[in-house]
Amino acid sequence: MKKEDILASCIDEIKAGKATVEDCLAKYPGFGDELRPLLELATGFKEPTVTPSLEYKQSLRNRLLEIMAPPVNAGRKRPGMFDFHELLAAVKKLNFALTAAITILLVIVIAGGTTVYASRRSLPDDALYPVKIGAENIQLVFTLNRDARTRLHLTLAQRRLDEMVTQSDLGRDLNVSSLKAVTTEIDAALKEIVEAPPQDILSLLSQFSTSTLNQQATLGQLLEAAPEAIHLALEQTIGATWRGNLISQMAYVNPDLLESSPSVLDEKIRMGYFELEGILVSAEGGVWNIGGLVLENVNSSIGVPPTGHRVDIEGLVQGDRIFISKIDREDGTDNEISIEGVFGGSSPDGTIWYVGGISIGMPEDVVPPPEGNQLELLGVIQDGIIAITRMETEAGEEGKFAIRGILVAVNRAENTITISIAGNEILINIDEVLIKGDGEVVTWFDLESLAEKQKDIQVDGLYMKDDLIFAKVLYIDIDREQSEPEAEDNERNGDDEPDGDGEHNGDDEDEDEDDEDDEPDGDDEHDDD
Amino acid sequence: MTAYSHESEESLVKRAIQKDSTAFAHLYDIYMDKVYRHVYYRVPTRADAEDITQEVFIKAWRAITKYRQTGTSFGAWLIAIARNSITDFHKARKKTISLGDTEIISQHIEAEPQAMTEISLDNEKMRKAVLKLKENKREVILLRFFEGWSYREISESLHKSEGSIRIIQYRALTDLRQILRRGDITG
Repeated sequence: MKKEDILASCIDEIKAGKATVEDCLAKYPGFGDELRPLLELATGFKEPTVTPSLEYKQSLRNRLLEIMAPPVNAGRKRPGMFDFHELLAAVKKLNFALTAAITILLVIVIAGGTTVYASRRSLPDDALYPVKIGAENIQLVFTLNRDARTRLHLTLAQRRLDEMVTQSDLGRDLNVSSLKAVTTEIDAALKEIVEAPPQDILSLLSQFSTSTLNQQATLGQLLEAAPEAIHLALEQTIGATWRGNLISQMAYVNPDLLESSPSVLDEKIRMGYFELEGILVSAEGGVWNIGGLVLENVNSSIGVPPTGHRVDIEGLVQGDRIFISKIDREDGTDNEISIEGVFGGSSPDGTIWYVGGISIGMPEDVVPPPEGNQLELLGVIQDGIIAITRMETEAGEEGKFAIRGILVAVNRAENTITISIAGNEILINIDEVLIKGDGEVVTWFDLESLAEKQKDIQVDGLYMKDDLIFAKVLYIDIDREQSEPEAEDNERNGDDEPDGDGEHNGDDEDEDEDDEDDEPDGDDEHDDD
Repeated sequence: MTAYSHESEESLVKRAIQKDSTAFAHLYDIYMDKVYRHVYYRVPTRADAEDITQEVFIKAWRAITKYRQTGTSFGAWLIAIARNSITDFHKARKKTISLGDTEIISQHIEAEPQAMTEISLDNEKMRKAVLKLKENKREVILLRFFEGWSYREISESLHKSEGSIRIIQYRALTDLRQILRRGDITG
């Protein structure tokens, strides 16, 4: 065996922890004098742990996904166009729905196109409203392209809401059936996205996210003026749009979530949303240990952060799977964990609590809060049981949820902020906003500082006025240390498009290395000086 | 390890070649750190490393249909793109690659003090000694001991046999020892 191979083999064994320098020297006694200094040198390198920040990784990942998403309408037929084969396939599938639609179509043809046209502005309870709904059903039946159908469902949901706003402005009663139609349409849109081809999913999720945010704002506007009798139905619909928005945001980051066929009708979605902070002790094979709390079946399309550091993660528990949608690396080394989510009850003996869908071992003497309350637990996990250092709970406000996005711009003159949600930038007026920031006084500077760093922000109490979205409350988490300019230097917004058509493509590996001492048989050279 | 590790890299690459963005995103998750680390040690600042890493993945996505699984691993292909991008970067800065390479680690430390702890070897002497090595030896030391590459990966990337890489490693360590013993590590 050559000395170079012996050295390489020894380095491998030492790095793998299978041998020590002394073991190797004993194994190859004839090379001892030569090997020892080289091995000591090689094993003395402190392997650096250079890694990009998680924020950068996430931001670049999102940027890539945007670039990879095909442009809207690219390569697609115009809405309403279809070929004969697609029509035949649809006919085979649709049976009853098609028969009904064709019947309505015939009625409409007999009644005349002008009737359909006249029905366009009709409102629920108007005589022509059934014609309008019938025409929409026909449009749905003949919209064979999944992408177009998704967008049509979202358009119809918004149309139902616009009708309700008009009814409200006219002083008419609002129909609960219209609210149900909104929920049905957005759930149908989500089901289409679940079945969509991978290359279409991100752009559809992006549209879905924006639509559900707008719907939430419109519903907030309706809630302001609606009579008490309809508040419950409105809040339930706001809940559905909130769940839709949450699903789209999370699936935008982690599309695997769609494998669980999430539905806006599933009220348990809210119960499965959690935020967890602690030291990532290990992460192997979908089993993550965070500060002693073991999470199983973890799915993270963002990747896995390095172990041994504090992380702040967000995720959604769906069935027996945990989908991670955000990972931030945090400073600090203390072994306390913090978990926040809706309290979903406890085991019969009270020793296991479910917070945001995560199971936590509890001491026996702790009194649980009411189910459905928002709960934040801080403590240290010892032998699978949390020793609580702080517990905060507040009543859950069904239907009045915060939406989270990345704060990307602040405009003092216009009293607006821009947040980015699932790849879309949304302008929100904060003219009348209440800012909550962990009890601290919040200034415009704080907001601008957060925008510079593209930090997460929560907006709550959305409503629509003059075609603008307003928010009643902003929740911001001010990290004073991170507000210092020198504390963070690696935030990149990645806006600038590189000239990706450079002359070097991936398949032209043509570096001209200096090969002068490539050949191992050549003379060794010492030309360092 | 990621949750989608049940799907082989080969399968992900095949899907990515068909312009499956989800598969490419998974490949990004697998290789991002490695590409970034490779770029980081060869450009002056973290910001440059971030820009070039972004460029690498965008170029890779645009050229993915040209990639064929013909012996070169997907990781080596990405690194080849990274090396081209780094070359372009230095050309744009009107510096030769060898001069640029020699100065890179120093520039990191001057530009970003916090990088010192990340990039430092056991001590300042060692760092300067590595900078004194000839380019191909320095490259092997960087890849093997800083970036944690296997001999096979280095061999693929530098287009040399694994045996040659082990020999260069031996010589690089011998040179490094002599440089340290001579104490010729100024500048």
